[in-house]
This record gives sequence, C-alpha cells and structure tokens, in this order.
Amino acid sequence: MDQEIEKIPPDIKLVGEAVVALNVSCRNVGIYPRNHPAVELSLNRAFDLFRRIFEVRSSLSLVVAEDTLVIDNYRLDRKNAAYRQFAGLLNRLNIVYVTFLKAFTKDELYIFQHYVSGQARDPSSPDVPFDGKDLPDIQVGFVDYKRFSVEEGKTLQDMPREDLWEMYIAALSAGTLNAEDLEELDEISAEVFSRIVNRMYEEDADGKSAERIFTFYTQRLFRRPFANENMKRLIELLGGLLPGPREKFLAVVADVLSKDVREAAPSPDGVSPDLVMSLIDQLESGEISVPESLRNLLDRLQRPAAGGNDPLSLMGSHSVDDIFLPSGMQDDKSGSPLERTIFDTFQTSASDTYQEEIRKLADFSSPERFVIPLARLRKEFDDDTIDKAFHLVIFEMMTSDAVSEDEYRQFIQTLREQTSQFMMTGQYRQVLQAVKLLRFNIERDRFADLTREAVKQYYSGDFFLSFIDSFRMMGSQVRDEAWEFCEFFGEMIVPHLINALANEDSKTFRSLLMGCLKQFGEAIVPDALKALDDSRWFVKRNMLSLLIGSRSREIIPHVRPYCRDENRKVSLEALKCLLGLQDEFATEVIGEYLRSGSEEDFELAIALAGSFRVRGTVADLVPALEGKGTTRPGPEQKLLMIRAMGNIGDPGCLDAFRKILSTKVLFFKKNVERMKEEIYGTLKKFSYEDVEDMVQSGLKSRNRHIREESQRLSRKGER
Amino acid sequence: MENVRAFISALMAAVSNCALYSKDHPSVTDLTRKSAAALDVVLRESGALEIMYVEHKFVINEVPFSEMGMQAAKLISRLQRKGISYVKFLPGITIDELRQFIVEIQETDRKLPAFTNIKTGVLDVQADQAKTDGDPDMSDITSFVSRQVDMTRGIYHDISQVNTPNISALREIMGNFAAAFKKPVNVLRLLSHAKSREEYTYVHATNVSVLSMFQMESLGLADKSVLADVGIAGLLHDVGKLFISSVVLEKRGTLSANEWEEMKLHPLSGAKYLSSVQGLPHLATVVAFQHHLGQDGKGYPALRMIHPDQHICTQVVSISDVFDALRSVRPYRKGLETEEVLHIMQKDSGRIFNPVLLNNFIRRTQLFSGLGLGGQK
Repeated sequence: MDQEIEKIPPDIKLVGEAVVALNVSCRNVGIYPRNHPAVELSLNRAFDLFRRIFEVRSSLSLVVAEDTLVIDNYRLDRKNAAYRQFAGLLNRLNIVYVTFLKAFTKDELYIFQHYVSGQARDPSSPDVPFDGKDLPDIQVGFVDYKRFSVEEGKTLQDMPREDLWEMYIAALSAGTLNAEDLEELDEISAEVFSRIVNRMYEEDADGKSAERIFTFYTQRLFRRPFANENMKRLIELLGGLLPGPREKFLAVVADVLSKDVREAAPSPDGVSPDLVMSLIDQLESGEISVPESLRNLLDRLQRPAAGGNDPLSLMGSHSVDDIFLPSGMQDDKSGSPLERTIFDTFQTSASDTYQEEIRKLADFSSPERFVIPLARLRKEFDDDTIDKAFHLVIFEMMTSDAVSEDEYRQFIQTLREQTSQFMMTGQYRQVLQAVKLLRFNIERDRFADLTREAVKQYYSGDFFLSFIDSFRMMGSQVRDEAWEFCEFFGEMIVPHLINALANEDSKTFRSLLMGCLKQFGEAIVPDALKALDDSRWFVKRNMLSLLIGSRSREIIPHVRPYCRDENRKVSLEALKCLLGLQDEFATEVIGEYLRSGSEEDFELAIALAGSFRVRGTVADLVPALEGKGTTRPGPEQKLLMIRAMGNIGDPGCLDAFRKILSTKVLFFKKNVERMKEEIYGTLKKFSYEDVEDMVQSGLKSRNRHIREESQRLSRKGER
Repeated sequence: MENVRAFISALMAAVSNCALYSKDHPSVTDLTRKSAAALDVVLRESGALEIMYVEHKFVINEVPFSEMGMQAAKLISRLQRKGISYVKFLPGITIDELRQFIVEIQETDRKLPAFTNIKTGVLDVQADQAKTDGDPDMSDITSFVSRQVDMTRGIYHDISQVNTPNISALREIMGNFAAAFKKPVNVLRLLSHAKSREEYTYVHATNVSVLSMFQMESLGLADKSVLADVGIAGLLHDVGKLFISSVVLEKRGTLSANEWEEMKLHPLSGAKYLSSVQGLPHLATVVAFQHHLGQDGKGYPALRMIHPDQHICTQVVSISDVFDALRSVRPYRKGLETEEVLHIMQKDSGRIFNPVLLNNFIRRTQLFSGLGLGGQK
C-alpha cells in the first residue's frame, strides 16, 4: 500500500522510473560484461533519468525500507516488483541508504551496480561494506550492527511484554515501523501503553514523538467501525495518562477524528452512550476545542443504534456454536448479566449428550486421541530425521534432468555440508549414498566436470581420515555402517585404515579396525608388510595381528624374523601369524621356547602349542610333562600341558598320560588327582580305540568326575 | 571465519549425537572438545564470539553474512525454538560449560539455563517469534481467516515477483493458527472458500496449512515450532506451481501428454526453490517434493536413487491437500460435500494415504461436521 508519510515529491514519477532503470541495469551488469550493449544501454537510461532529476534537486537519497524504498519520506509502492527487487538487492547487502550526488559519473554508477548485483563478492564471505573511495559521488550507508541492543539472559517468552512494547513504541515514534507492524498496536493494553507514553513524554522535549505515537494510535483505534471496545480503550487510556500527555492525546484525538469521521462510523452493535458521555466530559475538562465534525460524530454515537443496544438481539445474530467460542465474543457475553443468563440457560437446556459432544470438542487435546505413539511422532520431527529426508530429496533432485548447472552446483555444496555432518554423527550410509549418487551421475555424464570435481573429495585422504576419526569416536555402535563404508571404498581405504591401526592405542578401536580390515583378506598384505618395518614395537605388533587374518603364505619370510623379537608382544603375534599358516619355522621356535628354561617362554609355548594344535611340539611336551625337560614344571603348568596336549590330540602323548594315571602317591595326592581329571577331560579329543584302556579303568575309579567322564566316553565308543 | 564454521559444525554434530545416541556418548565428549578447540582459536583472535540472527542474516561479531551454511542455520533454529536470537561465547568458557550448553540446546522441552561464560538473549521486537506469541483477534473468524489468506497471497506474490518469501509473515500466520487451535474452535470454520480462480492458489495453500497443523495437533503434537514448520510446509507445498506456465496451470480441458509432464514437474520445481531459500525449514522442501509420491511411492516425480518413505508431514499434507481440493469449487466442477470427499479419500487409503492418519482425519472431521458446527453439512 502506498503510504504518504509527508507530501509526495514532485519528481516522484521520474524517481520511480530511475529506480526501475537502476533495477534493470543492475541485472544486466550482473549478467553481461561491461562492454555489452545491454549494460551500456541500461546504464545510459538510468544515467539520463538521473540527469533529469538533478535539474530540480542536487542529490537523491533512496532509503531502504525492508521491501521498498523511501524518497523524501515518501514510500514507493511496495507492490511494484521493480522497486521491491531493487530494495531487496540493497537490503541483502545491508545497505540502509544510497545517496546519488549531482556529480556522479556513469563509471561510478557501473561500479556501484556491479557491487549491488553481487558480482563483486563471494556469498560465503562476510557482507563487508565496500569502501567508497572510487565513488565520491555515490554515498552508501550500511546497517551498523554495533548499535543493536541485546537483552541478555532473556528469551522472547520471558521478556516482559512491556519491554518489548517500549521498544516497539520507540520505533513507532521514530517512524521506523512498517505499515504491517502497526497491527501490533492493538495488542498493547491501554494500561501498558499509557505507562510507557508517560515515561517517554518526560524525555520528549518538543512533544513531537508523543504526537506521532498518539496519531498512529488514534488512527488505529478509529480505523474500524467504532464500537464499545474502542471507546473503553480510549477512556482507559485517558485515565492512565498524566496531565501533560493526556492533554496532548485529547488534542490529537480531536484532530484525527475531525479529519475523517466516516472511518469512525459506529458498529451495528453501537457504543454505550455512557462511554461517549465520559469521553465528552474528558474533552471538556481538558478544555480541548472539539471541532464541529467530531461533536456531530459523538452526538451520533450517543444515540442508541436501532436494535444495536438490545442484548437480546445477540441471540438472533449468533448461532449456537458461536456461544462456545471463547474469544472476544465470549468476553462480551460475560460482561452483561443478561447475556450470562442466556448462556446459563443454554447450558441447562441443552441435552446431556450434546453437552458431552461439545465437551469432547473443547477437550480435544486429551491423550487418548493418539493414534501414533507420541515418541515416534516427535522422532519424525527431530532435526536429524528431517535432515535425512532432506538429504534424499537433494539426491533425487540431483539426478533430475530439470536441474540447471547453477542449481546443481548449489546442491553439491549442500551435499558437501551434509555429508560432513553425517560423517561426524556416524551416519556413514548417508555419506555412501552421496558418493553413489555422484558416481551414478558420472555414468550418466550429468554435469560431468562438476560431478567429477565433487566426487574427488570423497576419495581423498582427508575424507578417509575424517571417517577414521569419526569411527574412533563413535565406536562399535556404528560398526555395521563402518564396515559397509570400508567395503564400498575397497582397497582404496586400506592404507588409511592400516595407518590408523598402526598408531592406535585403544585396544577396542584396534579390534574394530581389524574387523574392517580383515574383510579385505590378502589385499591388506602389501601395506601391512610396509608398516611392519616401522621401528615402533606396537606398530609391528598391530601389523602382525592384522596379518594373522590374511591367510597369505607370501608373508612368511617377512614375519619369521619377528618370531624371535626381543619384545614378547611382537614375537607372540609373529608366532600366531606363522602358526596360522602352519609354518614349520614357528614350530621350531616354540620348541626352542619349551627348552629355553625360561618359565615365561615355556608357558607361552604351551599356550601356543595347544591353541594352534602344533603336533610338532609333542616331542618336546612329553618329556617336559614327565619332568625330563629343561624346565621342571609345577602342578599348574602340568595342567596346562595336559590341556594343550589334549587339544593337539596326538596319540604320542598317551603313554605320558598313562604314566600319570598309574601314579600312586602318598603326598600331594590332590595335585595328582587334578591331573588325572584333566587327562580324562581331554580323552574325547583322541580316537576311542586309542584310549579305550584308560576309559575302562576310569569306569571303576572312585573319583566321581573320572567315572562320569569315562561313562560318557564309553557310551560314545559303543555308538 | 573458518574457525567459527568449524566450531559451529562440531557443536551441531555434538548436539545431533546427543539426540542420536546419548548425552554421555564418547562422541559427544570428543566433539565438545573439538568445538572447544575451534572456539578457543576464535576467542584468542576476537576476544569473544557473538552470533546473532537479524532479518535472516547471520551477524558474527558484528559482521553480517548472508550465507553461513546449514549448521549455522540449524544452530539458530535450535536457539529460536528456545526464544533466543543472540548468543555470545566469552573467554574463560570451560569444556563442561560448553558440554552443558550442547545438552541443553538439544533438549526441546527445556528452557536454557544461565551460563557463566555463554550469554544468550533476544534482540528486538523484529525477531520472528515475537509475532507468533500474540493472541490473534478471533472475534470474527471470517475476517481472521481472510487476514491469513491475504498474508498468504502476499507471500506468494513475493515469491513470484522478488523470489523471496517473507519468512516473518509465514511464521506469523503459523503463530496465528497455532493460537487458534488453543481455542475450541471448529477447524472447518478456519477454512476459506476461493471467490475467484486467481484466489484459489492462496486459499488452498492456507487451507492445507490449517488442516495439516490441525491434524498434527490432533495427533498430540503440541510443540509450537514443529506445528509452525508443518504449517509452513503445508502453505508452500504447491509453490512449484508458480513455475509452471499459466497455460498449463489454468487449462480447463484435459492436459496433453506434454502438458501433463510439465505439470508433474511442480513438486521438483517447488523443492528446488524451497531448498534455496535460507531460513525456511527443510521440512518444506521435503513435503513439496514428496506430496504427490503417494504412500506407495508410485506417484510422481519418479525416483531414481532410492525409495524413501514419505515423511509423516508429507502424508498429513497430502490428506489436507486432497481434502481441500475436492471440497473446493473448481472451474470444471462444483465443490463436493465433506462426507463425499471423505468417502472418496477412503478408497485410496493405503495407496495414496497413510490409513492411520486418514482415519484420524476422518474421525476429527466427522466430529466437526457431524455436529453441525459449520462444516459442509
């Protein structure tokens, strides 16, 4: 809507045309190079219009209101698309005004338009005001964000409305509110309004601000058919104002109403004569001269409108359901005893069923209405769920043929931001979908250069590192998605994973990484062997652990040297590695350990021999069990040896077992009994024929455990 | 500025992980440390980090940015839900404080507590939410509805003429409707009738918005900001039609194959447009894109990549869309009675519409229309 703040500038038509020309040239400057005819033509047009404007004035200032421009207090029609577009362009650049001085040149105009068209700046950079050194005759003012006041520690919900209204009224007095914002005036209660105005009036030396506020307020109040509500408000406001502002306000009311009394035509409901009388009294007591037209209006308002004041007519003009509307209407009803009676009558006369239905309606927020669990519903609206859905929509749009290159470029940027966030939150499937989409588009040759460039990012070292960082953080909760991710990138990701594994301290994450890497089988061998050369013991240990799963015989010569590494953790992993490949070299080393005399080596060798069922070690284990080896094993070690020999299942051990079973001792009987029990526990690993004699003798044993074990073996043998 | 972006990015990832996993998840600790490290660099460089959102612009330490990326937008959106438009991080901030801040902004139902080294606040009356807090004048429902339709018309004009919707106005409409739902008002009375062909777009958009918010509210969703997002998604679901030629859009007869192909582009055009507008909820893009897909995904646009489930908001908007379209008078037919509309819609339950949502909608609508409270009966 056009809003004339003061008077219409005489050259407004010309100015309007100039703004349109500026808008056109700005677009052309944004699209074409400087020497393009379209640029030249449109600049000339704007420039010529300015020359004509400067015949009557020496400068022209365009002030940016949110969606239009203000020239000399005259607001250009916001419905005009060109005005709005140009205002929007300036607004986006935080420009609050631009003044063209008479001496400005066409080159200056071009520089200015180039800036406004956005060609001079990167959208992701700060909106830094351009320096005006090349534009001495075009002055540009920017929003000063330093001057924004902040209410710390408050939220919009708990900020006292009065504070907000005070700011609002201050804006009103400064004339910086838009026409639409004036709607808000209705929300301010008369009490709050009068309190704020009383405060402001003290600091308003010339009373101009108060006059402006009162004018807006009065215009607003009398804008609609004038009813009781407005009149009540007016009286309340007058009651709350101090003498100074009150007098000013009454003068403004008289002035405004006398100018356009038609606006204040009474509503069909009429206005209470008492209220009108009260206003007249106030005007008279304030010795305000009441113009004739206003006096006539007030007289008219004093007279009851036909039927309008009869409360019974409410019944005729409102339907039953209206009575249940608790908005303004209900307030009106509650104001009159007669109306309350009517309302009460309805409640007593309406049937119970009907009242129940009405109650249901009024109570429609009761929880039994839920048809979808609320938690699920809330989940649907949580940011991450919506982000995922949005992500999929971006995918689909990127595959569409109806997308321009610029739009596609923008989508790629969105995709980049989203995938980075998905990465940090362990949503690797979403990331993979982005990569799959780009590959799909490469296959289709869709904006091939852009797509290839974009896809590179997803195959870069930084990208894989960010995955590993994220995986370390997220842990086993995202293991399945992480494995899928690694599987997708295949051997490309292996060196990065190996590097991470080499340096990883956390046992948990090492095992997660190993889980990923083991999927690659032999593919990990070259990188793992390379890392094996690292001087740090834990890198060697981690690589050897990894190589265990590779099942590649090519690693044997590389691993053998580490079987005798001075660091026990390294040599253990190396032995496990080779034992898994049944390399004889490892058997030899285990034999060495068994004969070494070192208790630590001895126990390690027993454990490995048993775990990997190394038959080649039996020749060393048997004498050791019989106490004929370098190391004289204690009872616990003997138990370990029996268990290991059982695991190996080589019949070569059985004579040693028989010897123990036939041993009779007087002392340490308990230790021997435990060994015998352990032997019976291992016999199932041998063929029945080989151990039948021991089983038969076990059936007669007084030891219940041995007897039961023998019975089980015997039954198995009979089958 | 890269450090500010890195800070916000890690901060928002931590917020997401709080919601996705738990506030005690190691990743939250790790990301808090990362964001603290980035913040530390910023604080050493600038003394403090002040983030404001003014008139759809990010203002970082008093420097305005038109574009700060999705994560900054998400942070602002989270803060706005708590009624905050300004946040300032001060030197001396501890990891525990930052972590607590992360946990608190992730909580939807809680007010943000006070922090020693994080100051939050509001800017001025221009902030978006200020307008949604008022109690709209509903003494005359017809003019209340008509005001909302007028505002919708303004928003659609803005889009077609200057390419930018007035987001404050959008929020205001949603605030007004949300306030209307607090009153036991018959939702059917909040619907408007188009008086001309030209008006249909705005009236239909407004009606779909009201009906969608109403459905969500009736399902128990009371969060004002979520309801507003649903309303915005409803209001803009058909915005893509602004990009279809008027010849096709206003054709009275049957569309030719080519015309039909053009028409079928409107969900994509709408989504493309909405995804480019800063300050709009992502939900609006999702709904605009999916609203003709149908519950079975066999509608349009045809999907190439994956078959995502329609978002529940899309399902709700689809119901509102078809309901309002069928009961409206169109150049080629008269408007149908509510009962008839519901009967027709029921036939597509499970195929186009989510049966649970449709049942809920039918029950609610029948309750209103059956009581003779101003529905179609």
